[in-house]
Amino acid sequence: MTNGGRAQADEPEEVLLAAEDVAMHFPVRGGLLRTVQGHVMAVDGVSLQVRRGETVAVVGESGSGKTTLARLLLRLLDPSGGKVFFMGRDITTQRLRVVREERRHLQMVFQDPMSSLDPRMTIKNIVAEPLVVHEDRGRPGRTIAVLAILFVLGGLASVGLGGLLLLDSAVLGPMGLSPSVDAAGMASVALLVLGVLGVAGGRGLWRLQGWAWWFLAGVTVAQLVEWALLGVWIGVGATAFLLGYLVLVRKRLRSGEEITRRVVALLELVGLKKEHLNRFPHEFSGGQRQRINIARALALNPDVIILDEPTSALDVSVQAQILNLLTELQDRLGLTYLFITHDLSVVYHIADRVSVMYAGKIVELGDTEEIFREPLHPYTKALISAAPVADPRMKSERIVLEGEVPSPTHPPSGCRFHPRCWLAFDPCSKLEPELFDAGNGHRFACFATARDRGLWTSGTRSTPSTEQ
Amino acid sequence: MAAPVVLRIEGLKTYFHTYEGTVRALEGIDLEIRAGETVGLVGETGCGKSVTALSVLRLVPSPPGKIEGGRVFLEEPEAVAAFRNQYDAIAFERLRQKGVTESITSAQVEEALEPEVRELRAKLATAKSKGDEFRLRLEAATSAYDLLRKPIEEMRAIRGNKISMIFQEPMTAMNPVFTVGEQIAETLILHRKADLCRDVLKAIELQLNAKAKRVRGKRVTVREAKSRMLSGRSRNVLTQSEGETYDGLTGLNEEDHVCTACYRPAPPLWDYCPSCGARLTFDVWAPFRGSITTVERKLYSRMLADKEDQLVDFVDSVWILRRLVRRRLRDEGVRRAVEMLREVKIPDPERLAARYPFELSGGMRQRAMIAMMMACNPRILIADEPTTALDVTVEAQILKIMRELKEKTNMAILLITHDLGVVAEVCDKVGVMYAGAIAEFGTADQVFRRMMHPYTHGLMQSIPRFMAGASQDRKKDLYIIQGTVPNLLHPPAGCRFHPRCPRALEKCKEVVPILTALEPGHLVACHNPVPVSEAIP
Repeated sequence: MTNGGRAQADEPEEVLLAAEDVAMHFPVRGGLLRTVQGHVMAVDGVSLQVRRGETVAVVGESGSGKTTLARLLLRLLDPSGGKVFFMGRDITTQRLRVVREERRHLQMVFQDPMSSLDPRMTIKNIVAEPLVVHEDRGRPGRTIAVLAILFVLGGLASVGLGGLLLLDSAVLGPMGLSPSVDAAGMASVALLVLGVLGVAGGRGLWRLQGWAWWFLAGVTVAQLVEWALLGVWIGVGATAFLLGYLVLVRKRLRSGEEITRRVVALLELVGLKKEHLNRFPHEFSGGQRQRINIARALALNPDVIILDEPTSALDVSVQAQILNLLTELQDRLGLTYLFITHDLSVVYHIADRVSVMYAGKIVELGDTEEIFREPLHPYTKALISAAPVADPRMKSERIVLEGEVPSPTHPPSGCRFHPRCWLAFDPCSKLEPELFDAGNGHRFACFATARDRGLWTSGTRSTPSTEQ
Repeated sequence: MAAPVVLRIEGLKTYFHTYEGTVRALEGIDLEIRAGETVGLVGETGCGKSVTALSVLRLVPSPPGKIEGGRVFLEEPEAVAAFRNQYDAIAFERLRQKGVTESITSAQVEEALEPEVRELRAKLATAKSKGDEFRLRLEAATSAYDLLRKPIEEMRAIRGNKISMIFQEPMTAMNPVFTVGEQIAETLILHRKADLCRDVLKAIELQLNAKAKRVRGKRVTVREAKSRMLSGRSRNVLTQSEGETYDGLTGLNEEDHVCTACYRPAPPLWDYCPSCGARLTFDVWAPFRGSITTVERKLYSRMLADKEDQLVDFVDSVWILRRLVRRRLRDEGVRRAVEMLREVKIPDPERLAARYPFELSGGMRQRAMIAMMMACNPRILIADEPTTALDVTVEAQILKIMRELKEKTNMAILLITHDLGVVAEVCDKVGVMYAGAIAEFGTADQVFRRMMHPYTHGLMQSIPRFMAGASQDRKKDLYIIQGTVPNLLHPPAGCRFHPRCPRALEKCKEVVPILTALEPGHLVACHNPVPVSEAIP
């Protein structure tokens, strides 16, 4: 894969997203001069491939670097090493403007559905945001809003004027105090009616309703004719200006309408209704909020969606709804998912392939079925055995790990799992295990298992650990 | 079923009176927890799990919350319970005639039993013997063990002592400006002051003795102590008693600390030798130490004799003197705290006790929390989502610790969680809650393998599973319970689950189902339960 060249697009096994040895070392600053005192190795040499149409799960405990990996894949962070390829192009070296363009096809859904939605935006604006940003539709808002306000104000003004005139002609006229009763009376009624129509049309325009444009165009022309008949040339000028403005705004209104249509379609796709358009995030339940997040991610027809713990904050019954929705969307739209989670039962349910992360490194990856049937890395074993199963008969042999996830600033030498590992032997603390291949794309980073399977004997094929 | 009932909840009802209306958060909860049992409460967000726990401890924020009815018995002796059943039958009948049928409070019962109570009081006063039976009967008739009618001071003595609670987020439950050790010590000082006082007095005696005999010591490592004893000679030169002491040393870890006065262990937290009383740390007040200790002896013995001793209170209110009545208690408490921390498998507990909560990782913090809650040997530990914020491997550690502690102390655990997996893993009995009421209650096996309530059934089907032979179900649609949890401002009439229930009958819309035993020990509140044949394996 070379920079800029597109990989074979029509092969079924096309790699959409690939990480090659990416690393993210956050500097830790301290001391008097804020010098770099060390590094937090959040992600340390991770390689990962995501093919079109599949679901890859990244599993690991908190602090294992899952979310940092996701942010690297989107280039929300600049990696301190390694490369990330999206559709065969290296996005780590490209300019940010180009990367932004790529992100159309690469979207993310975050864990906390509430904090990832702006509480002051309506659902419509939230879901339309990517369209506005990426398709440069321009916010339909501002110009149209100004026009709508002009119409409403103008309408109100003409209602007022008409009212005054009517008073003049209807009350003062008969008393013999006003000279031209008939013409003024006619004009005042017309002004009143057109004013009311103008206010109504302006309101429609404010809400971006399709009929409002034609309606207002008619009203403005009528107004123009009236001013001309009355011979009020200032009125003619003002109305002509409004008419011109209206013509200018036509295109924008059309795109605004279209956006509304697309947003409605997206909301219906994720199981929400048209009525929800103008509501605010706090009016929704957790599950619905996550649906809104998914709708927003889908707005640009992405190829890959990175889901960062999408169901962790939800109840089981709601989780089931979201998982069903995700599988359904994948079937319908041919999406590719990178699913980050710590819940193994969810992984088993949704993922085709799994990679297990521990302290910033991938320790095992392979087919879901295979990993769950025969985990090869001791950490995976412990993780699977520790996951509580809703069945009292399954209380069986739990492997309870001692200790905690190591500090990412000073990761243990050699294999990062060795201080907690019950299989650890001599080389584990000295050498860093590579990913051994167990066939079928099932790879694992453990000396003990590799030795047992004859893949490794001491002194061969191993990378000496880099002293930090 | 020989284990005594520790906590019995009957018809507990808690409402929240808000501006929008009354939120009917708990609508008559019945629950029974026996010693040594782990009871799980599961349900979705907002079903009233936590409110149940808070109501038992009477910690429901009020206003707007108010416990509207029901009774909660803590450690009611069997004999009293038996009498109470008799009296309850009479009282309930009388109350029924008045139209009161559910969530009966102790006050109502006592009012209904007024003639009996008066008679018992009279008998108790005249009885020549101790009148044990009358006393028990009176306790039964007045529901003396009901937590909901205890005065607030008694409740304070119960919270953290007989009933402890672990919260989901330990950080919010701990005080960030005190060290972990001090916080655990505080619990002990509050509830176990007498014990601590006794220990303090013993230590004072020891120290005064040592002072009188002019025993002087220093804290050294075992390695150093050995070389000091031999001072270049061989083992054989030592006298009989010296030799025995030396052999005692060889049994210890090389890095441990001993006192040079008696060559017995002196852990780093002790400022005097626990065996001989010799002072081990540098002491600024050494010239006055004798008189200070004598004053302390006086104060602590007064404290032990009388809880509200005026002299002690006075000394405590003057900040320069405060140290005289607090330091030794705190130190003793911290030492016990370290023991507790060691029990929850915290490596190097001495160092951890000196740390602040924010310095600890989530798992450590939760362990420290458990240690704090276990410090007073509670009869019941209420754990509200103790592992929800933790990773699976840490969760496994915490659950293991809780199980071991339970077996050791024979306390009861009320585990509140939404994770069905955790419940299946650790609980003996399980209550499934829905919208403020218990939908199903039974042993873990009954609830998870022969569930009868449609809600439990739906819940179990909606979790993705990854074990034994589930591979063909992968990526298939999960079962979904239609609709959403009802708003408890306007809960549905009849069974609260009926709008979402696939098995709802006409009856369900009107009649509230009552928790009834469909199997021995298996209670279900449903008009149309799921037949056992349809229960998912």
